[in-house]
Amino acid sequence: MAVGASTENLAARHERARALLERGAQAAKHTLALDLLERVHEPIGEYPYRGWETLYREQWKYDSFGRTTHSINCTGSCAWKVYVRNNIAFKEEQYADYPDINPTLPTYNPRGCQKGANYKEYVYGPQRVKYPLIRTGERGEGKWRKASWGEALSYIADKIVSAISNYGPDTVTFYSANPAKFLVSYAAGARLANLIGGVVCSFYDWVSDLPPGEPMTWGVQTDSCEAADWFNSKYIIIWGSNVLETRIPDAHFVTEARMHGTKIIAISPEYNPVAIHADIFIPVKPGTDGALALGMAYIIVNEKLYDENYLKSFTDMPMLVRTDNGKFLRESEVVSDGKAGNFYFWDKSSGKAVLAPGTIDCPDKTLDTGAIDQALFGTFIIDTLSGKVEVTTVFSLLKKKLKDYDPASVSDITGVDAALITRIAGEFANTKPARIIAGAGVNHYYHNDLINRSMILLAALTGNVGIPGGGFDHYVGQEKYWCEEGFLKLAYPLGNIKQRFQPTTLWAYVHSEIEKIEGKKEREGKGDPENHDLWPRPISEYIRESVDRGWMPLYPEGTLDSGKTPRILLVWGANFLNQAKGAEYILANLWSKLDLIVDTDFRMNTTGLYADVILPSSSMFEKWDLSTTDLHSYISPFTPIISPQLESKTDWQIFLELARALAGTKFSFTDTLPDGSTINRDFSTLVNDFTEQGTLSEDKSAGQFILDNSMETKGMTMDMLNEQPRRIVATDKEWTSDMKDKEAYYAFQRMYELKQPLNTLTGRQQFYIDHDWFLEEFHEELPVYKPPVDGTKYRLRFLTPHGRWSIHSLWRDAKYQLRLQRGYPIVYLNPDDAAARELSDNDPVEIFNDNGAIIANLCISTRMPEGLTLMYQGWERYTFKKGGFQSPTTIRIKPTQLAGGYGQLKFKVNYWGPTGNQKDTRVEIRKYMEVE
Amino acid sequence: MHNGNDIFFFYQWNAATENNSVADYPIFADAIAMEIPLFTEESILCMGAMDKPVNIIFWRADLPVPENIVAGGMGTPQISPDEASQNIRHYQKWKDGIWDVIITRPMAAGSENQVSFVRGKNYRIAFAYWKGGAYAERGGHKIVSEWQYLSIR
Amino acid sequence: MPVQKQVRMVADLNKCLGCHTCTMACKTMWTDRNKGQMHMYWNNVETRPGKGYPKDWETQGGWFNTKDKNSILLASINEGYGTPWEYNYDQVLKTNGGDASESVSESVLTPSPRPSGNAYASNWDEDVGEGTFPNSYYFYLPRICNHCSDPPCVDACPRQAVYKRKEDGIVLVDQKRCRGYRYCIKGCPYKKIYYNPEEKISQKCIFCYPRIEQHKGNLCATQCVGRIHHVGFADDTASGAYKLVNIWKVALRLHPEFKTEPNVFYIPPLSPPVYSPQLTEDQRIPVEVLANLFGDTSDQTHDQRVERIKEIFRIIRTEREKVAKGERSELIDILIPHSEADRIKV
Ligand code: SF4
Ligand code: SF4
Ligand code: SF4
Repeated sequence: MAVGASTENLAARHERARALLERGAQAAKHTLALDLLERVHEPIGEYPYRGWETLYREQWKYDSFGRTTHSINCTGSCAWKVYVRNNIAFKEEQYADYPDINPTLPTYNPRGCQKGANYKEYVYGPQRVKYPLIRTGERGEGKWRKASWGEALSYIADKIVSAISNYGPDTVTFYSANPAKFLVSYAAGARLANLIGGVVCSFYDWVSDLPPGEPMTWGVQTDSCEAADWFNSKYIIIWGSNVLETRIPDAHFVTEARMHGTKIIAISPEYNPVAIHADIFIPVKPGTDGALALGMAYIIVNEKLYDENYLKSFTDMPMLVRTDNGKFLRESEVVSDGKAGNFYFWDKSSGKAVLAPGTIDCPDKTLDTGAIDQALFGTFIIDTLSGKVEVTTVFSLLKKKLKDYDPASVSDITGVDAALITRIAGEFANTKPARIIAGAGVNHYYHNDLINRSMILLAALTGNVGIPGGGFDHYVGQEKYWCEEGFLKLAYPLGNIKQRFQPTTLWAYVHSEIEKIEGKKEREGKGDPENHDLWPRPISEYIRESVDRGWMPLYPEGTLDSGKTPRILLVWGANFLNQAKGAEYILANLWSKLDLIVDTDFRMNTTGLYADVILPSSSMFEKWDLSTTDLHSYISPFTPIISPQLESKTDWQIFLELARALAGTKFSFTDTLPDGSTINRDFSTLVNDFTEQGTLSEDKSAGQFILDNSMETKGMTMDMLNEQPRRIVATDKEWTSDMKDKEAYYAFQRMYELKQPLNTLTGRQQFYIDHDWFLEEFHEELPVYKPPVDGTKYRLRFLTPHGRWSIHSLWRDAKYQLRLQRGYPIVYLNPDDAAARELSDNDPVEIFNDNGAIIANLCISTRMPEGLTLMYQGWERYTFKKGGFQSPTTIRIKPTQLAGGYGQLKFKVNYWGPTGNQKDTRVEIRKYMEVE
Repeated sequence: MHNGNDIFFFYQWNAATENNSVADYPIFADAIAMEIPLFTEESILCMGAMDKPVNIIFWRADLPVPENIVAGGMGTPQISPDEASQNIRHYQKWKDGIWDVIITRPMAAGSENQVSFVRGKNYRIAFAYWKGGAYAERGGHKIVSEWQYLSIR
Repeated sequence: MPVQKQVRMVADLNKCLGCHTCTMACKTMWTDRNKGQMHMYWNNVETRPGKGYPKDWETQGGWFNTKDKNSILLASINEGYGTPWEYNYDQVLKTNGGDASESVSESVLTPSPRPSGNAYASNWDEDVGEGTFPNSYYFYLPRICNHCSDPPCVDACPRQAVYKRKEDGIVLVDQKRCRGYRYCIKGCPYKKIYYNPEEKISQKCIFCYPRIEQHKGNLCATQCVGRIHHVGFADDTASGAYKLVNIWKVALRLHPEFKTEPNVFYIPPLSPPVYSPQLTEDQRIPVEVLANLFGDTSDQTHDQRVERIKEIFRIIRTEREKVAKGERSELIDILIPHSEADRIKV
């Protein structure tokens, strides 16, 4: 073939090809490759083949989107936009539409975290509970059969009725964690409990997130500023708190405050992520934070860096205390018709004792002391009904007490350089507004109340409580349900007075028979320098006294006398078993007492695996609900973006259906409540009662009911919230400050600005507690330092802080999150400690003590000091070859937290009750040899 | 070899290891290719040229089927986008250090993106061979032959 | 310049939380399509000092410094990039029921393959750090493709299937023309191109171009709850990104010695002072460690980089103190952007 001919041929063919191409571009069968043959000459800027770029544009396409948040007790309450394509929720993105508070504060946008960014994994993942399951094997064996809703619910209803008729309604126990994260869903279970006479368990004290020092000092459960107010601080001590990991959506207020000139001090035993953005990192020996605070107080008091006027007006420092018995001087001791709840100052101008306004029995509800010139120091003689008595001031006593906390001694205890203690104390006192952000790192100790009180003392001495940017702000747990009134009405239709509430720590302690173990340890531990006399009397005596005097309830009634036990445990929206302190004892002793354990959840978890019946609840994409947090002042809705998957139902509908099943039994009984009153409970009307004659049949109307009945949300509708989150408009008496337009919420404004008394005996920030137990048995009338309490048998302290990769147990089994970690539970150890035990990174190790053992893998990190080991909490029991992360812990009740009958020390659910602290735990670590 | 309808190419060569996967970053598969000018009698050995495109039959040990490729110069090879030209089948077996690969396709072109093998016609043909595995040969990193002749009888 | 506009991103490491919201935002948008993408994090966050992702990426080399291009290492998924573990959910959780006859019941949720020996994950080193307690140190470094102005990944591809867009300078791998040769992966010294063994082609950060085209920010930046990013076009003098790089000069390039002219910049991290034995004024992250990472240009010496980083710290401190005293600072205003519109201008 001639060359020329072939060229001609080619030209012709090429031509033909081009024509063909144009003709039949769609006729895919005849697409020619020829037009793709152009060489790319300039891939920078002149790339010719860009048609493929539609690929990613397509991936970003969606049919619709909706709004939700997450009810997981993360304190985030973040607004998420969920994109839907083909009825699948395929992508989550922060909504980022929180209205601004004011233009000088950084915005709340965007709020979210890496976990919330992939909640869809649970919506569609293998963890999802798909239909009701009834256990067929042994508990925990993992054998189930699928049941219909009807069967599962009537099974439960029959058991409830039989428990009530055989043992009483107070053997039926309801546990969920935290209304704030899902007001309607929480109310669902609580409402049923309220209607049938069941027991609702506390959570805030049990999980040790309650800062007991707050009710003791301030007469509040907790009140903290919202995150935006951090930006208003000039000095922030982040103390035992790891906001970088645990308050991910809010942490920018810290890093931005720092850029704004605020000095950031991080105090923690290890170099944690928040420390990396601090101006000073202060490594403190674990559990000695209270000593450090008192060491700072020593400097502030002795160098007169305190705010004298503030102390006189807003604290009990000028109040008079008898030197003979250590009690406050009471009006009832001075004049014959005097009241026990009235107390005195020493007025320097008149030279005599005068009554303080604002105390618990004083009709004058103000802290305004007018012309009184209170003495802060001194000893005075008072004529009382029983003769002359010497009195002094709280401040004098405090100063005396603080003598033990000079910088050198505190340095010995805490390991912090004495000069640094002095420096930080001075800076804290001289930079206003100054704030302490406190977290679980200091709140999960046995002596958490003392630690709280010592830290609050610093904020009060310096006049920081009640001002924007200042104070002691505690963040652990999403406890703040802003729309309290509406919630309470929905959850407890018969009134919360008529509700049996149980401080869970006491319940779990008694029914898990921990006392036997703790009592034994106490006896063995004598002589161990760290296991000092925890209890002057056996713990059982304190429990008995507290229960008998009506200070703390213990259900079922008669437990201590007749050995009655709970029979039924209904858990919803919580992972009780996995998170329980003393998990091994709970499983061994409490679990066996229960005839029925029901777990309601959208995903399988440890509690579910050890339950008898599992009910599938809707995910957070599938329901109407409401969420609030103390970290911001907005109310965020959940909305049904997709329909409930598989056979799941919303919590509201589940408890409504359970009410229906109970109604079907037509059971009725007369219930005698602890206060002696009786209620006739007729189950045949339960459905009507539950739905308020049908007006609350829907989740959305239940949510609306909360909004309508709360002053915080007056005028809001569920639909409005779906359009955009709204800021709370006002605050009820539960909170300590007014909600002000254009101002970030901060605590105790009503005290400081409006001079309104606090709900304490003295009406003030009360550092002196003259309760008998405090004075005589524990010597804790003032904040003092007491070391962590676990003995020295095991060498390593064991901390289980909150981390960034989970919210408690949630996401501990989510592979997208696990892939960004090491894939399984790890425990951190310092390189030298690891070397001493001949351990290498990633070795499987056993972490053990007398309570239990866990197997996990080692992560050797320089962030750890010697003598400390750390495992981020929340790992599900089934992620361990042995044990659970709570296995080495126990339940250890501090008797003073059982106290009552004293002003602010009065049981109220989630407000005052013993904490389930767990940080006073020591372990040893050794290599675990796998037997294949 | 052909049977009037289909043409068969038989290959056999020594290969110490069987490299039949591209399942990880450092893993490359063995491959061979035949290059035949698409319209013209001859073309440029390296992937032809714009006006003298080449048709390439590409077998790689991990692919489900060999690919029909058209190229018009360096950096231009393109799997022909029409289904009709992706009509190549194969048989492969590696045993005891020897690859046996048979590649077959209908003699008649499935589309314009393919050479038709016509009885009695001569073709230029070149071969390329990529050693996968540790050699990590791919793209231009390969062993190529000079133009050879293919006569179909 | 053939590229008319160039997107730029500045990341303020003093605000990074190490929270991986960026990672997850990217992952759930672009790389959860198929198995072959599971190991890839177009945006990853690594603890520094540490081995990074992929493991030891800085020492793997790239087109710029390696004569024998074939000798450049390609890390493997499990040992280099980290295993995207699968889990035995069904066996452990039994959410599908399962009757008593099913006797085998696994009780431990186990990653598969189980991490042992040379196990690695993209974030394996999290919070491990260096130094000796109490002077331990570490910080977080979020990384995406730098959409370099002189991108060796483009040069490396013999098919020219890697290219840079004219309108925004975004570097892309043509998903149709890519033949999975992985030269680009060798070429990129930042190891920011990934290989998808399912699709048998290379994939990389696309700077969320479908969003940029709609004038929305890229996800890793907009979803960053630490609010550390500033995104803008290199010539947009009004953008925070421009001001931080060109006016205030507080943002540096990661490994400019790789000679690719990356378009992601970092404000180097301050750190709390050292104890020796009392508290000193010296930052605990040695400035030399930072200078090993960050600099302005490829021809700067190590000492020049050290000086620059010190200078940046001085500038930030001075401006911080100004604001603490109640004065205004433009720099601080940029570093604390009020709204998203202030930090993202596309
Ligand atoms: S970072 Fe790597 S992949 Fe991205 S443009 Fe630069 S060289 Fe290319
Ligand atoms: S710019 Fe977009 S594609 Fe690139 S890493 Fe960020 S989120 Fe992923
Ligand atoms: S989202 Fe932002 S703060 Fe969080 S790790 Fe990524 S870059 Fe850092």
